[in-house]
Amino acid sequence: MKNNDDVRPNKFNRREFLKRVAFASTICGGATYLAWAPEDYPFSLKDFTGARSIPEPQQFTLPDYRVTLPTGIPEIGIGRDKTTSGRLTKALDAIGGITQFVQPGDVVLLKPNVAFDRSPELGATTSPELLEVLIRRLLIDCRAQEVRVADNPIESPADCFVKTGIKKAVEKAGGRINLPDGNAFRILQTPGAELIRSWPCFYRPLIGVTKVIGVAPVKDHNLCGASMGIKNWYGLLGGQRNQFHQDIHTIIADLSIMIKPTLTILDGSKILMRNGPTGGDPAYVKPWDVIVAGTDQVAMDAWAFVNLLQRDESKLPQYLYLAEKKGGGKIDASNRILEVS
Amino acid sequence: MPNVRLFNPRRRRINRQHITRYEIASSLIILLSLAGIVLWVATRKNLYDPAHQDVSLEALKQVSSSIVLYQRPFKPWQLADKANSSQNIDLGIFPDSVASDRWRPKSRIKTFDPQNLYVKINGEAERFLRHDFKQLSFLVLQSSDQIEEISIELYNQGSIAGSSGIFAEHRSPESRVEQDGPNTYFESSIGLIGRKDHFFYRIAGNRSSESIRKKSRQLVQSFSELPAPESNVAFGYQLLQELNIKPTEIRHQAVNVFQYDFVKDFWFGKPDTAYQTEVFVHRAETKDSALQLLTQILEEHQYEYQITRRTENLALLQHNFLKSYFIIAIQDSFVFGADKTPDQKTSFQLLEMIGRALPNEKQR
Amino acid sequence: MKTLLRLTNIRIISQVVFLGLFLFTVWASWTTRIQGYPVSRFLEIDLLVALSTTLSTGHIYRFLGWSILLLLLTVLFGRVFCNWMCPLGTLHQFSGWLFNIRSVKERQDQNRYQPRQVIKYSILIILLIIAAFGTVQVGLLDPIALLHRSVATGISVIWDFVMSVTSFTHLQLAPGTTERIFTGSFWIGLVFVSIIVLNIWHPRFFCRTLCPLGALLGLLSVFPLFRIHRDMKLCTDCDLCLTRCEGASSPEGSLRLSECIVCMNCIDDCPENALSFSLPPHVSTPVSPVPDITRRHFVFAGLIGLIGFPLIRSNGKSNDANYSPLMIRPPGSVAETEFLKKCIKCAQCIRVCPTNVLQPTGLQEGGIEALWTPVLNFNVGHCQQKCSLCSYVCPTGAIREISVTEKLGFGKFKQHGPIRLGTAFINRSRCLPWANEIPCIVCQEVCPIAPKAIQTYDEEVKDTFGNLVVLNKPFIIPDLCTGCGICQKECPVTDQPAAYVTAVGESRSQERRLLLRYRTNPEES
Repeated sequence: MKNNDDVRPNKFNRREFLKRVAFASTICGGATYLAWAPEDYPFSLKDFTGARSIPEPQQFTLPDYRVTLPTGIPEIGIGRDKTTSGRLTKALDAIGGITQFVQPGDVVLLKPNVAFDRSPELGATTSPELLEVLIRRLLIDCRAQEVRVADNPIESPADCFVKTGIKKAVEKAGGRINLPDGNAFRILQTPGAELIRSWPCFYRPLIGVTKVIGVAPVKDHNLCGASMGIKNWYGLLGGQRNQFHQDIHTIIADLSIMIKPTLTILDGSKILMRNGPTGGDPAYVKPWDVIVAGTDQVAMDAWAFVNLLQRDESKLPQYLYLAEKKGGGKIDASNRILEVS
Repeated sequence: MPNVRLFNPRRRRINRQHITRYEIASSLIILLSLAGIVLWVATRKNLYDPAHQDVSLEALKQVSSSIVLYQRPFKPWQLADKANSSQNIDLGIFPDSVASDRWRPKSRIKTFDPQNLYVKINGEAERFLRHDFKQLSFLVLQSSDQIEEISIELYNQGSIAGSSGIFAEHRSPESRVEQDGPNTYFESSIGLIGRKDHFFYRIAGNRSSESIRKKSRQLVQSFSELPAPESNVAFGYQLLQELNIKPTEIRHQAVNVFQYDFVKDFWFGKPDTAYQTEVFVHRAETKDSALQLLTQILEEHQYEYQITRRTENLALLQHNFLKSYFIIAIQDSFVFGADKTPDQKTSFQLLEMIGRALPNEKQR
Repeated sequence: MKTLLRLTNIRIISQVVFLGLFLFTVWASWTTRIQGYPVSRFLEIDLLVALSTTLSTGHIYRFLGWSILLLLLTVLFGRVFCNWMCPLGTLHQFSGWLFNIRSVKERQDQNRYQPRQVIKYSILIILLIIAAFGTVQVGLLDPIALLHRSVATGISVIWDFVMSVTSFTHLQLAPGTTERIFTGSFWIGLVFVSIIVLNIWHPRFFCRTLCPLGALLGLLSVFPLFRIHRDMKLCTDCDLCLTRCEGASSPEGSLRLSECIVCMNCIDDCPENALSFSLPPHVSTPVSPVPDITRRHFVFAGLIGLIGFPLIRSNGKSNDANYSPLMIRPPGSVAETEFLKKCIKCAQCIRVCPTNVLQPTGLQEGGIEALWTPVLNFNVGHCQQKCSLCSYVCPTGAIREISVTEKLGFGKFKQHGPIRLGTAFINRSRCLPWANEIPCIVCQEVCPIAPKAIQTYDEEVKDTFGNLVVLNKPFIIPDLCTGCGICQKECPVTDQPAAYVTAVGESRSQERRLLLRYRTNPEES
């Protein structure tokens, strides 16, 4: 209970009146403006239909990572050798050498296949040895500024990178692993695609990247026939990507135009012949001595399907034809291919 | 705003005066033990076995491929028939390509063995039995509009000798014999008759039509998938093929060779389709039985032929009326020669040709 | 220097060190960080955990023998653990101190002994009796288990939320994954926040009134070698020692040994230097060693424990009469009744799981007895094939420690076969190829078994739009399926997946077995 003496005397005069009216009109006027001013006015918060409240996710597009090469150089190189580094050298030299593609100061993203926690001998993931050799070559021979390695696996990302041996190999060679998390995805615009015109993509490792190289194993696949260079890019997709299996050939064809990589490398040192894409039994793996490197993913996939997976040429997977139609490449590799043993 | 503090305002004020030595000593000891505990935790870092969280490649290889699963074959799109679906019929020995969307089995396959063959083909059974008959598989195909029918008789004659023998009996000089892969066949007005390896087949439609003719020819192609005989190819067949005689012109005669009932199991081949000349070859049991056979043939032949030349192992004869030559010889246990040759020179040429091609006895 | 080496300062350092070690174990309980660190050591030195699991199972599992250290410490020095080591105690003390704006007189009144402090002994008796009967419920109130569980499922959510805007991946609790979720995190977090916030009104409320571990240590502190000793010749009865007494142990009168948690604050507050922590002198001040438990308390607590057990058990969810198909336990778990004799709901397994598939149960799967025990929820994640970390961190052996080779059934474990968590099924009325003529087959694609435990009937059909489509219709081979759940996780019918795993066929229980024969491994029993 307050004493009346403590209360300050309150003089109500015109000044007080104006003060109060000014106060009321500012508050009410401001609120009225915010709520009722037409939507295109500055600072208007009006949202009559509710359309303005729908969040617009941040979008981005991918630049073309390809390098213009001098004419006359084959587009696809095949290297055969007993050692990984020998194979890689021969395959890359056949298409002009790695220095043609990666220049000093480039930030390179390598996209291996790390989809499962298989050990490397099971042929279901990219060989860590190949990554190590490639990263060293990029950092030392090409003097790239940074090499990042990223993938969005189906299983636990931390476990997959460790159990496949890729984390150790990459860190030993001087590269950096990028793991996906909830904030690493943004909507990618791919005009011309049928299914992924606008789809979440693993964005964070792509920031500031100037060259992209896909490094894929050659695997049988239970649904689409084979999982090789083009399918490898599936690992960049986010969101509910398990819906695409309802039209798997179309999505792979879309992947062939979603990203235009600098280079694609197919590792034919451990070919998963059956029970793909997870494998799991060393007997399903055929050890071989080939690496295919090139800039035409469609042709490389077709070549690997016939020569590495030893399947019938007449039974090429449908996605290759769709990809060719979309402009992702050309199936017929004659005159563009060079094999070095 | 009422004057209430948020945080604890008091500065820690110690009331006591002095601290004993014991307290300082124990404080130091406790500090050291705390440091020791932290150090201990830090040193646990590498005390683990990564193989614990992994499966070794050796363990994987141990059970590798131990489980094999059956893969059901892919089922292509087929419009199901309301009456009876063609998928239900077991085609037995017939290849799957025999039935199709347009031509469906009318009923089940019927099989006949030597005991009950006569039930199916009555008097004809004797002919087939003579040629080593083993089994008949009988199938009727009906067109999808149910107007046309094709009946297929597939005879397993046990050996190439058998099938080419019965085939030769069916063909006439007018039949146009064709070769399609391993199939030898000729068309008839309502179907065709052919053979492949040890199989002999007769295909007959219920009327003469282009679709039946087309289907018959497709059946010939699908018969290429019939299994090959287990036993080796008859030597005579192989031999004559080696002499570049077309399979269409090779035939086997099981009995009544040269119209003599004691002469059996001769292989004939026509080197040149333009002429009547046939070469023949026969493997007897022993050299003696071959010699005996030669003598017997010559004995019978002398009624119609004139013996022009005769040695112990060879004879050249000329037909009294037709003036064509017949030459026959023996090498080891083989009896061979040529019939209806135009002149002596050709006879000896052919004889030499066969003689060279004969397998060496010692190599057997 | 002299004033810095006081025991109270050392105590603060010790509290900080142990809290830091606790936070380190939380941070290190992650697949790539754990390496060889003993991340469950706090739980393994917890004497109440050791005692209750020994009562329920008759054995002492693995590292639980370390609790003898705590036993030794307590019988020699009293309840030092509570104020020098217990990280929850540190948090209570800190929150009670931080917002404490009372005057000296108010503080003294707050720290006087309250009769309600005897409740924790009743709680202890109830919990121990129920444990002896065969279900361990100490985890609900045991401070270390409660703290581990609250941090793993409740606080980690808050931390991840804050960390999500930064990119300090080294500080993140689960780097390289999408935001983790934990069912029941609201209630777990609410309990935790409530008991911490309660300290503002009643200092050390949990420690004084509820903590069963404190009660147990208190019972063991009846004959300590060292204790607080008040020199009656120097004492002037000013009650200043009560100003910061943490345990409300009446240092101004007859010291209650079972309540004193050796905070050493009274020593600093006495202006006469009358208090010390030492061996009792020849002529000792009177102390009340035994807590104020009366026979009534004892009998009533005993009765509640006696009738509690059958009431908890009778819903049939833990034996096989009425078990929930969602009760899928981590790989390596022992059979359900044994599991409930061991699980202290510490959520260490939930914390360390790389795929976030382990979740605390609600009341649906197992009733109140199994509340907050770990189950796998395959809508959230799947059981990573080459991982058995949950079994590695379990302190009590509810999840028996297994190697990955044993989990997958290779090497010398080939005869046992793999550890099956359950069996997968295809719901043909929801599966796209079976029900809607739409090709899919993601489940077979991701199945990690070799050969795959999902095979297909391959058929070409003309769908309702007249297009020829190739349908691969999946079916499960239960002999091969280990119940890893990746088919359920990846099935595109995400709300109620067409490929789903239920608990039947789990290998830890003979009664819940599905198949008569394992056709791929006839030796498997």
